[in-house]
Amino acid sequence: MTGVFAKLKFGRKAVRTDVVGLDVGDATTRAVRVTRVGDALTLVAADLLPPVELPSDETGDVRPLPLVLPKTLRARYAAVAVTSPQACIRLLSVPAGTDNRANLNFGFFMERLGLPEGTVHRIGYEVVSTENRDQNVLAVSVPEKQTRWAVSLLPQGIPAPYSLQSSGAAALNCFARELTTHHADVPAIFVQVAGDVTHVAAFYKGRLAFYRQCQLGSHAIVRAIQDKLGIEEKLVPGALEDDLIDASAPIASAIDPLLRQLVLVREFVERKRSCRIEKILLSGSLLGTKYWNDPIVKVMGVAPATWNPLDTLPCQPGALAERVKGNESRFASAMGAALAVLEMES
Amino acid sequence: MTYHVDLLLDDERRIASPVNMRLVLRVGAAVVAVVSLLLIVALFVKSREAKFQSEAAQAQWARLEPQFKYLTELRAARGELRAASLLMESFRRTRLPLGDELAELQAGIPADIQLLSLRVTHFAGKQKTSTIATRSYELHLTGKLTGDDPKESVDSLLAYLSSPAFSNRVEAVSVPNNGFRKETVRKTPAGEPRTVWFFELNCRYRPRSFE
Repeated sequence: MTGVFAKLKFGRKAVRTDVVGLDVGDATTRAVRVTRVGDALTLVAADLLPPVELPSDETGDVRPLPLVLPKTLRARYAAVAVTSPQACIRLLSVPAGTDNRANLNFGFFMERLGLPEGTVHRIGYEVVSTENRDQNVLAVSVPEKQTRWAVSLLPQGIPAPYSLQSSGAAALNCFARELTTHHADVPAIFVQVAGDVTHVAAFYKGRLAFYRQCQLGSHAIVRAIQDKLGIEEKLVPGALEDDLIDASAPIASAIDPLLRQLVLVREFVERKRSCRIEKILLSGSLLGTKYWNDPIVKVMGVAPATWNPLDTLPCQPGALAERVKGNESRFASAMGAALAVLEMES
Repeated sequence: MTYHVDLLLDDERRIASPVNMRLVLRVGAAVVAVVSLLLIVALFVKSREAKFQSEAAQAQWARLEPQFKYLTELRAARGELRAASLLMESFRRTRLPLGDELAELQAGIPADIQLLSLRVTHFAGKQKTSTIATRSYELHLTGKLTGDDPKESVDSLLAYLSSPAFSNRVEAVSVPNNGFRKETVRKTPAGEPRTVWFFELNCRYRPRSFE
Protein backbone atom coordinates (compact mmCIF):
# COMPACT_ATOMS: atom_id res chain seq x y z
CA MET A 1 0.00 0.00 0.00
CA THR A 2 2.79 2.38 0.89
CA GLY A 3 4.42 1.67 -2.47
CA VAL A 4 1.24 2.58 -4.30
CA PHE A 5 1.02 5.90 -2.52
CA ALA A 6 4.72 6.54 -3.11
CA LYS A 7 4.10 6.28 -6.85
CA LEU A 8 1.26 8.76 -6.79
CA LYS A 9 2.26 12.28 -7.61
CA PHE A 10 0.59 13.85 -4.58
CA GLY A 11 2.56 11.55 -2.35
CA ARG A 12 5.85 12.97 -3.56
CA LYS A 13 7.79 15.91 -2.29
CA ALA A 14 7.34 18.96 -4.47
CA VAL A 15 10.28 19.22 -6.87
CA ARG A 16 11.71 22.55 -7.92
CA THR A 17 11.91 22.89 -11.69
CA ASP A 18 12.26 26.63 -12.07
CA VAL A 19 14.89 28.41 -9.99
CA VAL A 20 16.56 31.78 -10.20
CA GLY A 21 20.12 31.84 -8.92
CA LEU A 22 21.12 35.16 -7.37
CA ASP A 23 24.64 36.21 -6.47
CA VAL A 24 24.38 39.21 -4.14
CA GLY A 25 26.78 41.33 -2.18
CA ASP A 26 29.39 42.07 -4.81
CA ALA A 27 29.83 45.04 -7.18
CA THR A 28 26.84 43.81 -9.20
CA THR A 29 24.00 41.42 -8.58
CA ARG A 30 24.10 38.46 -10.93
CA ALA A 31 20.94 36.57 -11.72
CA VAL A 32 20.34 33.48 -13.82
CA ARG A 33 17.11 31.58 -14.28
CA VAL A 34 17.38 27.86 -14.93
CA THR A 35 14.53 25.47 -15.63
CA ARG A 36 14.45 21.72 -15.73
CA VAL A 37 12.30 19.60 -18.02
CA GLY A 38 12.92 15.94 -17.30
CA ASP A 39 16.66 15.67 -16.82
CA ALA A 40 17.49 18.56 -19.15
CA LEU A 41 18.50 21.87 -17.61
CA THR A 42 18.16 25.04 -19.65
CA LEU A 43 19.37 28.56 -19.05
CA VAL A 44 16.29 30.71 -19.56
CA ALA A 45 17.56 34.16 -18.64
CA ALA A 46 20.61 35.91 -17.25
CA ASP A 47 21.08 39.51 -16.29
CA LEU A 48 23.26 41.89 -14.30
CA LEU A 49 21.28 43.90 -11.75
CA PRO A 50 22.24 46.93 -9.68
CA PRO A 51 24.33 46.11 -6.60
CA VAL A 52 22.82 45.77 -3.14
CA GLU A 53 25.20 46.77 -0.41
CA LEU A 54 26.31 43.98 1.88
CA PRO A 55 26.05 44.96 5.56
CA SER A 56 29.37 44.96 7.35
CA ASP A 57 30.10 44.08 10.95
CA GLU A 58 29.88 47.73 11.97
CA THR A 59 26.48 48.47 10.48
CA GLY A 60 23.39 47.71 12.49
CA ASP A 61 20.58 45.44 11.41
CA VAL A 62 19.91 46.35 7.79
CA ARG A 63 16.52 46.11 6.13
CA PRO A 64 17.31 46.38 2.42
CA LEU A 65 14.80 47.32 -0.23
CA PRO A 66 13.23 44.22 -1.80
CA LEU A 67 15.11 42.97 -4.82
CA VAL A 68 13.07 43.72 -7.93
CA LEU A 69 13.69 41.17 -10.63
CA PRO A 70 12.79 41.57 -14.30
CA LYS A 71 9.89 39.42 -15.42
CA THR A 72 12.18 37.04 -17.30
CA LEU A 73 14.02 36.21 -14.08
CA ARG A 74 10.93 35.78 -11.89
CA ALA A 75 11.03 32.06 -11.12
CA ARG A 76 8.99 30.59 -8.29
CA TYR A 77 12.04 29.88 -6.11
CA ALA A 78 15.39 31.54 -5.61
CA ALA A 79 18.77 30.13 -4.66
CA VAL A 80 20.66 33.02 -3.11
CA ALA A 81 24.45 33.05 -3.00
CA VAL A 82 26.08 35.65 -0.73
CA THR A 83 29.45 37.04 -1.77
CA SER A 84 30.95 38.04 1.53
CA PRO A 85 34.58 38.68 2.47
CA GLN A 86 33.69 37.45 5.97
CA ALA A 87 32.37 34.13 4.70
CA CYS A 88 34.59 31.21 5.52
CA ILE A 89 34.79 28.04 3.46
CA ARG A 90 36.94 25.02 4.27
CA LEU A 91 37.22 21.50 2.96
CA LEU A 92 37.80 19.59 6.16
CA SER A 93 39.00 16.06 6.53
CA VAL A 94 37.44 14.38 9.54
CA PRO A 95 37.57 10.77 10.66
CA ALA A 96 34.67 8.73 9.30
CA GLY A 97 32.59 6.95 11.89
CA THR A 98 29.13 6.46 13.19
CA ASP A 99 29.53 8.99 16.00
CA ASN A 100 30.91 11.71 13.81
CA ARG A 101 27.61 13.47 13.35
CA ALA A 102 27.58 14.17 17.06
CA ASN A 103 31.13 15.49 16.81
CA LEU A 104 30.34 17.79 13.89
CA ASN A 105 28.83 20.39 16.16
CA PHE A 106 28.92 24.15 16.29
CA GLY A 107 32.03 24.33 18.50
CA PHE A 108 33.92 21.97 16.19
CA PHE A 109 33.24 24.14 13.17
CA MET A 110 33.92 27.38 15.04
CA GLU A 111 37.36 26.04 15.82
CA ARG A 112 38.12 24.46 12.44
CA LEU A 113 36.85 27.44 10.47
CA GLY A 114 38.92 29.76 12.63
CA LEU A 115 35.96 31.95 13.56
CA PRO A 116 36.80 34.45 16.27
CA GLU A 117 34.97 34.29 19.59
CA GLY A 118 32.05 36.67 19.91
CA THR A 119 31.11 36.64 16.24
CA VAL A 120 27.74 35.28 15.19
CA HIS A 121 27.93 33.08 12.12
CA ARG A 122 25.53 30.71 10.47
CA ILE A 123 27.34 27.47 9.78
CA GLY A 124 26.49 24.64 7.42
CA TYR A 125 28.30 21.62 6.09
CA GLU A 126 28.01 18.87 3.54
CA VAL A 127 29.87 15.57 3.43
CA VAL A 128 31.26 15.57 -0.11
CA SER A 129 33.23 12.32 -0.17
CA THR A 130 34.50 9.50 1.98
CA GLU A 131 37.95 8.06 1.45
CA ASN A 132 39.32 5.20 3.49
CA ARG A 133 38.89 6.27 7.12
CA ASP A 134 38.31 9.92 6.42
CA GLN A 135 35.49 11.91 5.04
CA ASN A 136 35.74 15.27 3.35
CA VAL A 137 33.35 17.83 4.74
CA LEU A 138 32.71 21.12 3.02
CA ALA A 139 32.03 23.57 5.83
CA VAL A 140 30.72 27.07 5.27
CA SER A 141 30.05 29.98 7.57
CA VAL A 142 28.52 33.34 6.77
CA PRO A 143 27.91 36.15 9.27
CA GLU A 144 24.40 35.83 10.66
CA LYS A 145 23.66 39.47 9.87
CA GLN A 146 24.48 38.93 6.20
CA THR A 147 22.34 35.78 5.94
CA ARG A 148 19.32 37.63 7.39
CA TRP A 149 20.03 40.52 5.05
CA ALA A 150 20.16 38.18 2.03
CA VAL A 151 16.84 36.52 2.96
CA SER A 152 15.18 39.89 3.48
CA LEU A 153 15.97 40.81 -0.13
CA LEU A 154 13.06 38.55 -1.12
CA PRO A 155 10.49 39.36 1.56
CA GLN A 156 7.29 38.42 -0.27
CA GLY A 157 5.73 37.09 -3.45
CA ILE A 158 7.92 35.30 -5.95
CA PRO A 159 10.62 34.22 -6.03
CA ALA A 160 10.61 32.73 -2.55
CA PRO A 161 14.02 31.96 -1.01
CA TYR A 162 14.61 28.23 -1.20
CA SER A 163 18.35 28.02 -0.64
CA LEU A 164 20.98 30.27 0.89
CA GLN A 165 24.59 29.56 0.05
CA SER A 166 27.97 31.17 0.18
CA SER A 167 28.93 32.25 -3.33
CA GLY A 168 32.29 30.46 -3.16
CA ALA A 169 30.64 27.15 -2.30
CA ALA A 170 27.84 27.72 -4.78
CA ALA A 171 30.34 28.23 -7.60
CA LEU A 172 31.69 24.71 -6.97
CA ASN A 173 28.51 23.28 -8.51
CA CYS A 174 29.13 25.22 -11.68
CA PHE A 175 32.81 24.19 -11.71
CA ALA A 176 31.91 20.52 -11.34
CA ARG A 177 29.37 20.67 -14.15
CA GLU A 178 31.76 22.54 -16.45
CA LEU A 179 34.48 20.01 -15.77
CA THR A 180 32.22 17.07 -16.52
CA THR A 181 30.56 18.66 -19.54
CA HIS A 182 33.51 20.22 -21.35
CA HIS A 183 36.77 18.85 -19.89
CA ALA A 184 36.20 15.11 -19.35
CA ASP A 185 36.87 15.40 -15.62
CA VAL A 186 40.61 16.04 -16.03
CA PRO A 187 42.45 17.30 -12.92
CA ALA A 188 41.79 21.01 -12.93
CA ILE A 189 41.95 24.12 -10.80
CA PHE A 190 39.19 26.68 -10.86
CA VAL A 191 39.79 30.24 -9.77
CA GLN A 192 36.82 32.44 -8.92
CA VAL A 193 37.74 36.06 -8.28
CA ALA A 194 35.36 38.29 -6.31
CA GLY A 195 35.86 41.84 -5.11
CA ASP A 196 37.70 41.02 -1.89
CA VAL A 197 38.19 37.29 -1.99
CA THR A 198 39.30 34.63 -4.44
CA HIS A 199 38.22 31.00 -4.31
CA VAL A 200 40.57 28.30 -5.57
CA ALA A 201 39.15 24.82 -6.03
CA ALA A 202 40.96 21.78 -7.34
CA PHE A 203 38.99 18.90 -8.81
CA TYR A 204 40.24 15.39 -9.31
CA LYS A 205 38.11 12.85 -11.21
CA GLY A 206 35.20 15.26 -11.08
CA ARG A 207 35.26 15.60 -7.30
CA LEU A 208 36.43 18.43 -5.12
CA ALA A 209 39.91 17.54 -3.95
CA PHE A 210 41.14 20.77 -2.42
CA TYR A 211 39.78 24.18 -1.64
CA ARG A 212 41.40 27.44 -0.60
CA GLN A 213 40.21 30.93 0.01
CA CYS A 214 42.53 33.82 -0.69
CA GLN A 215 41.82 37.27 0.78
CA LEU A 216 42.64 38.94 -2.47
CA GLY A 217 40.23 40.14 -5.11
CA SER A 218 39.69 42.53 -7.97
CA HIS A 219 39.67 45.47 -5.55
CA ALA A 220 43.29 44.72 -4.60
CA ILE A 221 44.28 44.68 -8.27
CA VAL A 222 42.56 48.03 -8.87
CA ARG A 223 44.27 49.52 -5.83
CA ALA A 224 47.68 48.24 -6.99
CA ILE A 225 47.22 49.85 -10.41
CA GLN A 226 45.95 53.06 -8.82
CA ASP A 227 48.96 53.22 -6.55
CA LYS A 228 51.38 52.45 -9.36
CA LEU A 229 49.92 54.64 -12.11
CA GLY A 230 48.01 57.27 -10.13
CA ILE A 231 44.69 57.04 -12.02
CA GLU A 232 41.17 57.13 -10.69
CA GLU A 233 39.55 53.91 -9.59
CA LYS A 234 36.74 54.08 -12.12
CA LEU A 235 39.24 54.53 -14.98
CA VAL A 236 41.20 51.36 -14.17
CA PRO A 237 39.01 48.77 -15.96
CA GLY A 238 38.85 50.87 -19.14
CA ALA A 239 42.60 51.51 -19.10
CA LEU A 240 43.32 47.78 -18.73
CA GLU A 241 40.99 46.86 -21.59
CA ASP A 242 42.29 49.54 -23.98
CA ASP A 243 45.96 48.61 -23.66
CA LEU A 244 46.70 52.22 -22.76
CA ILE A 245 49.06 51.11 -20.03
CA ASP A 246 51.33 48.19 -19.30
CA ALA A 247 49.92 46.80 -16.10
CA SER A 248 51.87 43.54 -16.11
CA ALA A 249 54.15 44.51 -13.25
CA PRO A 250 51.52 45.84 -10.80
CA ILE A 251 49.17 42.96 -11.60
CA ALA A 252 51.88 40.34 -11.17
CA SER A 253 52.72 41.96 -7.88
CA ALA A 254 49.09 42.15 -6.81
CA ILE A 255 48.26 38.54 -7.62
CA ASP A 256 51.37 37.19 -5.99
CA PRO A 257 49.46 35.86 -2.92
CA LEU A 258 47.10 34.12 -5.31
CA LEU A 259 49.99 32.60 -7.20
CA ARG A 260 51.35 31.18 -3.96
CA GLN A 261 47.97 29.66 -3.19
CA LEU A 262 47.81 28.14 -6.66
CA VAL A 263 51.21 26.53 -6.21
CA LEU A 264 50.12 25.20 -2.84
CA VAL A 265 46.96 23.75 -4.27
CA ARG A 266 48.72 22.20 -7.24
CA GLU A 267 51.41 20.61 -5.10
CA PHE A 268 48.91 19.23 -2.63
CA VAL A 269 46.69 17.70 -5.25
CA GLU A 270 49.43 16.39 -7.50
CA ARG A 271 51.26 14.82 -4.59
CA LYS A 272 48.24 13.34 -2.92
CA ARG A 273 46.51 12.12 -6.07
CA SER A 274 49.56 11.33 -8.13
CA CYS A 275 48.21 13.32 -11.02
CA ARG A 276 49.03 16.41 -12.99
CA ILE A 277 46.88 19.51 -13.14
CA GLU A 278 45.90 19.99 -16.76
CA LYS A 279 43.57 22.95 -16.66
CA ILE A 280 43.39 26.25 -14.85
CA LEU A 281 40.11 28.03 -15.45
CA LEU A 282 39.48 31.61 -14.35
CA SER A 283 36.13 33.23 -13.67
CA GLY A 284 34.65 36.09 -11.68
CA SER A 285 35.54 39.77 -11.62
CA LEU A 286 38.58 39.41 -13.81
CA LEU A 287 40.59 42.53 -14.51
CA GLY A 288 43.43 42.56 -17.02
CA THR A 289 43.45 38.80 -17.41
CA LYS A 290 45.89 39.08 -20.29
CA TYR A 291 48.45 40.11 -17.68
CA TRP A 292 47.68 37.05 -15.56
CA ASN A 293 48.86 34.59 -18.19
CA ASP A 294 52.61 34.92 -17.87
CA PRO A 295 52.85 34.88 -14.07
CA ILE A 296 50.55 31.85 -13.86
CA VAL A 297 52.36 29.94 -16.61
CA LYS A 298 55.62 30.76 -14.88
CA VAL A 299 54.62 29.20 -11.57
CA MET A 300 52.12 26.56 -12.67
CA GLY A 301 53.36 25.44 -16.06
CA VAL A 302 49.80 25.58 -17.38
CA ALA A 303 48.23 28.50 -19.25
CA PRO A 304 45.03 29.72 -17.59
CA ALA A 305 41.82 30.08 -19.59
CA THR A 306 38.86 32.28 -18.88
CA TRP A 307 35.68 30.27 -19.04
CA ASN A 308 32.08 31.24 -19.41
CA PRO A 309 29.80 29.73 -16.74
CA LEU A 310 26.78 30.52 -18.88
CA ASP A 311 28.03 28.05 -21.48
CA THR A 312 27.68 25.25 -18.97
CA LEU A 313 24.02 24.79 -19.85
CA PRO A 314 22.09 24.98 -23.11
CA CYS A 315 20.84 28.51 -23.47
CA GLN A 316 17.49 29.67 -24.80
CA PRO A 317 17.70 32.23 -27.63
CA GLY A 318 17.66 35.76 -26.27
CA ALA A 319 18.24 34.56 -22.73
CA LEU A 320 21.23 36.81 -22.12
CA ALA A 321 20.57 40.47 -21.51
CA GLU A 322 22.70 43.02 -23.37
CA ARG A 323 24.47 43.93 -20.12
CA VAL A 324 25.72 40.38 -19.69
CA LYS A 325 27.99 40.52 -22.73
CA GLY A 326 31.59 40.87 -21.61
CA ASN A 327 30.65 39.89 -18.04
CA GLU A 328 29.76 36.24 -18.60
CA SER A 329 32.56 34.98 -16.40
CA ARG A 330 30.97 36.58 -13.34
CA PHE A 331 28.00 34.21 -13.27
CA ALA A 332 29.60 31.08 -11.79
CA SER A 333 28.14 31.58 -8.30
CA ALA A 334 24.64 32.49 -9.48
CA MET A 335 24.67 29.56 -11.87
CA GLY A 336 26.08 27.22 -9.24
CA ALA A 337 23.46 28.24 -6.66
CA ALA A 338 20.64 27.41 -9.09
CA LEU A 339 22.34 24.16 -10.14
CA ALA A 340 22.75 23.09 -6.51
CA VAL A 341 18.98 23.20 -6.02
CA LEU A 342 18.01 21.67 -9.34
CA GLU A 343 20.61 18.89 -9.28
CA MET A 344 19.93 18.09 -5.64
CA GLU A 345 16.29 17.34 -6.47
CA SER A 346 16.90 15.51 -9.74
CA MET B 1 27.42 15.24 -6.63
CA THR B 2 26.22 18.64 -5.52
CA TYR B 3 28.00 21.03 -3.21
CA HIS B 4 24.88 22.38 -1.62
CA VAL B 5 25.59 23.80 1.79
CA ASP B 6 22.24 25.37 2.55
CA LEU B 7 22.27 28.02 5.27
CA LEU B 8 18.58 28.84 5.02
CA LEU B 9 16.63 28.22 8.22
CA ASP B 10 13.30 26.43 8.13
CA ASP B 11 11.44 29.48 9.40
CA GLU B 12 12.92 31.54 6.56
CA ARG B 13 11.39 29.28 3.92
CA ARG B 14 8.02 30.27 2.59
CA ILE B 15 5.62 29.18 -0.07
CA ALA B 16 6.22 30.79 -3.44
CA SER B 17 2.98 32.60 -4.03
CA PRO B 18 2.41 35.71 -6.11
CA VAL B 19 -0.13 36.75 -3.49
CA ASN B 20 1.41 38.50 -0.54
CA MET B 21 -0.20 36.64 2.36
CA ARG B 22 0.87 39.30 4.82
CA LEU B 23 -0.86 41.94 2.72
CA VAL B 24 -3.93 39.73 2.33
CA LEU B 25 -4.05 39.21 6.10
CA ARG B 26 -3.64 42.92 6.73
CA VAL B 27 -6.34 43.86 4.22
CA GLY B 28 -8.57 41.08 5.59
CA ALA B 29 -8.07 42.32 9.13
CA ALA B 30 -8.83 45.89 8.04
CA VAL B 31 -12.00 44.76 6.22
CA VAL B 32 -13.14 42.76 9.27
CA ALA B 33 -12.45 45.76 11.49
CA VAL B 34 -14.37 48.13 9.19
CA VAL B 35 -17.30 45.71 8.83
CA SER B 36 -17.35 45.19 12.60
CA LEU B 37 -17.32 48.95 13.13
CA LEU B 38 -20.15 49.41 10.63
CA LEU B 39 -22.14 46.66 12.35
CA ILE B 40 -21.60 48.26 15.74
CA VAL B 41 -22.69 51.66 14.37
CA ALA B 42 -25.73 50.08 12.70
CA LEU B 43 -26.65 48.25 15.92
CA PHE B 44 -26.21 51.45 17.92
CA VAL B 45 -28.43 53.41 15.51
CA LYS B 46 -31.02 50.61 15.55
CA SER B 47 -31.00 50.46 19.35
CA ARG B 48 -31.44 54.23 19.56
CA GLU B 49 -34.31 54.04 17.10
CA ALA B 50 -35.90 51.18 19.05
CA LYS B 51 -35.51 53.15 22.27
CA PHE B 52 -37.26 56.17 20.75
CA GLN B 53 -40.03 53.97 19.39
CA SER B 54 -40.40 52.29 22.77
CA GLU B 55 -40.67 55.65 24.54
CA ALA B 56 -43.24 56.89 22.01
CA ALA B 57 -45.23 53.67 22.37
CA GLN B 58 -45.14 53.94 26.18
CA ALA B 59 -46.39 57.54 25.99
CA GLN B 60 -49.14 56.50 23.60
CA TRP B 61 -50.06 53.60 25.87
CA ALA B 62 -50.25 55.89 28.89
CA ARG B 63 -52.64 58.10 26.92
CA LEU B 64 -54.78 55.26 25.59
CA GLU B 65 -54.77 52.87 28.55
CA PRO B 66 -57.97 54.27 30.29
CA GLN B 67 -59.83 54.15 26.99
CA PHE B 68 -58.54 50.64 26.38
CA LYS B 69 -59.71 49.49 29.81
CA TYR B 70 -63.11 51.13 29.32
CA LEU B 71 -63.39 49.52 25.89
CA THR B 72 -62.42 46.15 27.33
CA GLU B 73 -65.11 46.46 29.99
CA LEU B 74 -67.67 47.48 27.36
CA ARG B 75 -66.70 44.50 25.22
CA ALA B 76 -67.10 42.18 28.19
CA ALA B 77 -70.53 43.66 29.02
CA ARG B 78 -71.56 43.43 25.39
CA GLY B 79 -70.55 39.79 25.36
CA GLU B 80 -72.58 39.02 28.45
CA LEU B 81 -75.60 40.84 27.08
CA ARG B 82 -75.30 39.11 23.75
CA ALA B 83 -75.12 35.73 25.49
CA ALA B 84 -78.20 36.56 27.55
CA SER B 85 -80.00 37.80 24.46
CA LEU B 86 -79.17 34.61 22.61
CA LEU B 87 -80.38 32.57 25.56
CA MET B 88 -83.64 34.46 25.66
CA GLU B 89 -84.06 34.20 21.94
CA SER B 90 -83.50 30.45 22.15
CA PHE B 91 -86.01 30.23 24.93
CA ARG B 92 -88.46 32.30 22.90
CA ARG B 93 -88.06 29.99 19.94
CA THR B 94 -88.97 26.97 22.06
CA ARG B 95 -92.31 28.55 23.13
CA LEU B 96 -95.36 27.92 21.06
CA PRO B 97 -97.32 31.17 20.50
CA LEU B 98 -100.62 29.79 21.74
CA GLY B 99 -102.61 32.95 21.05
CA ASP B 100 -101.79 32.90 17.37
CA GLU B 101 -102.33 29.13 17.20
CA LEU B 102 -105.77 29.35 18.78
CA ALA B 103 -106.74 32.26 16.53
CA GLU B 104 -105.75 30.29 13.42
CA LEU B 105 -107.45 27.18 14.76
CA GLN B 106 -110.64 29.10 15.37
CA ALA B 107 -110.61 30.39 11.79
CA GLY B 108 -110.43 26.87 10.38
CA ILE B 109 -112.95 24.97 12.55
CA PRO B 110 -116.18 24.27 10.65
CA ALA B 111 -119.29 25.91 12.00
CA ASP B 112 -121.08 22.63 12.91
CA ILE B 113 -118.32 21.56 15.26
CA GLN B 114 -118.63 22.42 18.91
CA LEU B 115 -115.34 22.17 20.80
CA LEU B 116 -115.65 20.51 24.13
CA SER B 117 -112.04 20.68 25.32
CA LEU B 118 -108.63 21.82 24.20
CA ARG B 119 -105.54 20.75 26.04
CA VAL B 120 -101.97 21.65 25.23
CA THR B 121 -99.20 19.52 26.73
CA HIS B 122 -95.47 19.95 26.35
CA PHE B 123 -92.39 17.97 27.34
CA ALA B 124 -88.63 18.41 27.15
CA GLY B 125 -86.38 16.22 25.05
CA LYS B 126 -83.21 16.15 23.02
CA GLN B 127 -82.43 16.13 19.35
CA LYS B 128 -81.70 12.73 17.93
CA THR B 129 -78.30 13.65 16.50
CA SER B 130 -77.05 15.99 19.22
CA THR B 131 -77.37 16.92 22.83
CA ILE B 132 -79.28 20.14 22.15
CA ALA B 133 -82.38 20.39 24.33
CA THR B 134 -85.79 20.57 22.66
CA ARG B 135 -89.35 21.27 23.73
CA SER B 136 -92.27 19.42 22.06
CA TYR B 137 -95.97 20.38 22.10
CA GLU B 138 -99.15 18.34 21.56
CA LEU B 139 -102.64 19.66 21.11
CA HIS B 140 -105.63 17.45 22.16
CA LEU B 141 -109.02 18.49 20.88
CA THR B 142 -112.41 16.98 21.70
CA GLY B 143 -115.63 18.13 20.18
CA LYS B 144 -119.10 17.11 19.09
CA LEU B 145 -121.20 17.71 16.08
CA THR B 146 -124.49 16.79 14.61
CA GLY B 147 -125.73 16.71 11.17
CA ASP B 148 -126.08 14.44 8.27
CA ASP B 149 -122.40 14.13 7.37
CA PRO B 150 -120.28 14.74 10.45
CA LYS B 151 -117.34 12.79 9.02
CA GLU B 152 -116.84 15.40 6.34
CA SER B 153 -116.52 18.19 8.89
CA VAL B 154 -113.91 16.25 10.92
CA ASP B 155 -111.97 15.44 7.72
CA SER B 156 -112.18 19.09 6.81
CA LEU B 157 -110.65 20.01 10.18
CA LEU B 158 -107.91 17.41 9.69
CA ALA B 159 -107.19 18.76 6.22
CA TYR B 160 -107.06 22.30 7.60
CA LEU B 161 -104.49 21.30 10.24
CA SER B 162 -102.43 19.52 7.59
CA SER B 163 -102.56 22.50 5.23
CA PRO B 164 -99.43 24.59 4.43
CA ALA B 165 -100.51 27.14 7.01
CA PHE B 166 -99.64 24.57 9.72
CA SER B 167 -97.32 22.13 8.00
CA ASN B 168 -94.17 24.07 8.94
CA ARG B 169 -95.03 23.69 12.61
CA VAL B 170 -97.22 20.59 12.81
CA GLU B 171 -95.57 17.24 12.45
CA ALA B 172 -98.61 14.94 12.54
CA VAL B 173 -102.40 15.20 12.94
CA SER B 174 -104.43 12.10 13.74
CA VAL B 175 -107.67 10.80 15.14
CA PRO B 176 -106.95 8.04 17.69
CA ASN B 177 -108.72 4.70 17.57
CA ASN B 178 -112.28 4.98 18.63
CA GLY B 179 -111.81 8.71 18.50
CA PHE B 180 -114.91 9.25 16.32
CA ARG B 181 -118.03 7.81 17.75
CA LYS B 182 -121.73 8.51 17.96
CA GLU B 183 -124.01 8.62 20.94
CA THR B 184 -127.76 8.92 21.23
CA VAL B 185 -128.75 11.57 23.69
CA ARG B 186 -132.12 12.82 24.90
CA LYS B 187 -132.29 16.51 25.52
CA THR B 188 -135.26 16.29 27.85
CA PRO B 189 -136.88 13.29 29.34
CA ALA B 190 -139.87 13.94 27.12
CA GLY B 191 -137.78 14.93 24.22
CA GLU B 192 -137.05 12.96 21.19
CA PRO B 193 -133.71 11.20 21.18
CA ARG B 194 -130.95 12.62 18.91
CA THR B 195 -127.73 11.24 17.49
CA VAL B 196 -124.60 13.23 18.42
CA TRP B 197 -121.08 12.52 17.07
CA PHE B 198 -118.05 12.95 19.32
CA PHE B 199 -114.51 13.09 18.11
CA GLU B 200 -111.00 13.39 19.48
CA LEU B 201 -108.03 14.78 17.61
CA ASN B 202 -104.30 14.77 18.37
CA CYS B 203 -102.03 17.33 16.78
CA ARG B 204 -98.30 16.84 17.40
CA TYR B 205 -96.03 19.85 16.78
CA ARG B 206 -92.45 19.68 15.58
CA PRO B 207 -89.86 19.79 18.44
CA ARG B 208 -88.46 23.30 19.07
CA SER B 209 -84.78 23.37 19.89
CA PHE B 210 -82.79 25.82 22.07
CA GLU B 211 -80.34 26.67 19.26
